[in-house]
Amino acid sequence: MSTAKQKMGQLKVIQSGPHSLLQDLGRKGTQHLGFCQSGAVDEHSFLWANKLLGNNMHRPCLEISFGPFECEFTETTTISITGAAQTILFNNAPINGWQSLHVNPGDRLQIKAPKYGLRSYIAIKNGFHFESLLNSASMTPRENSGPFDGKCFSRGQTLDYSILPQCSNALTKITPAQFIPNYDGIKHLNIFVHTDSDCIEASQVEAFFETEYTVGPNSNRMAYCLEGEKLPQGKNASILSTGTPFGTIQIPPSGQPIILLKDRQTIGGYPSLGCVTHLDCFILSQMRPGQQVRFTPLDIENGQKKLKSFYSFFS
Amino acid sequence: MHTASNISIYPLNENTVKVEFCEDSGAPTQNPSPELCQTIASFRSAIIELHPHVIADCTASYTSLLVYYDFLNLNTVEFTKSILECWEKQKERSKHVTTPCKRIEIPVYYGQETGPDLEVIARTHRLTHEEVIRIHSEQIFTVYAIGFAPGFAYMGFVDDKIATPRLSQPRPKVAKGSVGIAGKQTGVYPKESPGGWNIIGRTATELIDLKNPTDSASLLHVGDRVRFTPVSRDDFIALGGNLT
Repeated sequence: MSTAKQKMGQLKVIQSGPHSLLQDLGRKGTQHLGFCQSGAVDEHSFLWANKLLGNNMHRPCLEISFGPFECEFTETTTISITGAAQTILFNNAPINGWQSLHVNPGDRLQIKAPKYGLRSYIAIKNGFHFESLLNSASMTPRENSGPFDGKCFSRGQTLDYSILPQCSNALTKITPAQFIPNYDGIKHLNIFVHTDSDCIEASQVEAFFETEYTVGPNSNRMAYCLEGEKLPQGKNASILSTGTPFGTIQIPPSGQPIILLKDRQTIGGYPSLGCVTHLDCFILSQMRPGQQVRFTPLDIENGQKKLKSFYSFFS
Repeated sequence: MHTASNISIYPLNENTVKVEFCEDSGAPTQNPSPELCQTIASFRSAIIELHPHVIADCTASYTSLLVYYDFLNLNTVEFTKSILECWEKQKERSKHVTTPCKRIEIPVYYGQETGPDLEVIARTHRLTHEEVIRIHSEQIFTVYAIGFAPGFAYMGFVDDKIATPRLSQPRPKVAKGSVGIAGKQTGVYPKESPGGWNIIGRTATELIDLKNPTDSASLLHVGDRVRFTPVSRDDFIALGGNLT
């Protein structure tokens, strides 16, 4: 992506947080080689970050899981911050998230660890410059794949960006309040039930819908592990491994469901009860261990309609 | 769900459908045949050729294909229909031609120096180390799936005489190139990683280039036939093998 030898601005990482990565809408055509899909795990926040800057929806953003994160900018540009970030300091003064922001050389941005939600996104006008892999900016630490060998950002690391001409009175774009999620409280997520599956019993599906689950501590970009009343045993505890779509609800022998997200393995051998819808996976990815979640069924046609209008809103 | 002879197709979420295959004989498919695996691999190529811009990803694994498609531009009903038609054509064509499969040899330095579980496998099955090695290296395996990690191929099926369940406690670190057995499956770790397979040797062969992960940069693909050939410690080192 970076070929022209023009002068670049740099985002310098001062405090990285435990898990900060570049992400875009993920990779294509690589799962058959065993590379995971990867990509922004909360596309709602990711796409809003780009939309606020008038960026193409595929532009990579910084995805900051938890935090705290702090950085400095060496040249003028415009950025935006979305997602969980609640306490944001710009040159030590508090500012709101979900808006665009003009930065000058030497400006400092601090995102404190959020109280609600988990992941924040920083977009930059016209995107960051980096060595892409598989036509994607997505980084997967588990695979050492992607820009920077997929390694989480660390203190002192820099990210290049194109300098924007000075425009200090540039209009600030703000996300309307109705699009800003409330990360707190119990969430109700829609799922598509795999009615054709021979490994799942009707009694398991019924129990699944009746259970209130708690997000387990072992939840990350790869998968969310849920804790609740143990589901009854299905017909087959182990099946031949098969491809695992985004949002797959696996039922391992423990009877505690696992929901697969962007960094999931490409194939899996646990029986699957269904899939959480894309849109609700984005909500799930912002949930914190200890939060409650319940599920309701949806048919695929309606799920497709919702997802279609979501993407057309951003494209 | 849509079904035709030997396949069924059903959507799993907004942008994926699963295609499931069964043997011509209708036999149960707990250990699918190499022929079925090859049929799936060539059908995978056929549908990608048919829909190069619609199919984003397509993962073959044992008896199924998971197809990621652009549902914004082609609806599920039409997509499913085109896949069924493609299948009927392939069935017709395969009556006249058989597609050749790729055969790959992987040189392995077998032994306790690189294979910490060789002894356990030998003891479990009352065999000598040499017998375990001979059985493993005489078989021709089929790649049934790629997953777990980039370039990790699940190959089958290992002779019952040496088939051994996974370690009860996975190792935190398995060396790159380690050749292992898990149940009736065998495989090679493309890079150092945690893992629970029984390790019997190591290869110097690179399985995938993480910096250039194209089809051509991956040694193994679903449907390929693989044979492990024993090499000496010296040959292993000469081939670039690492003993640390």
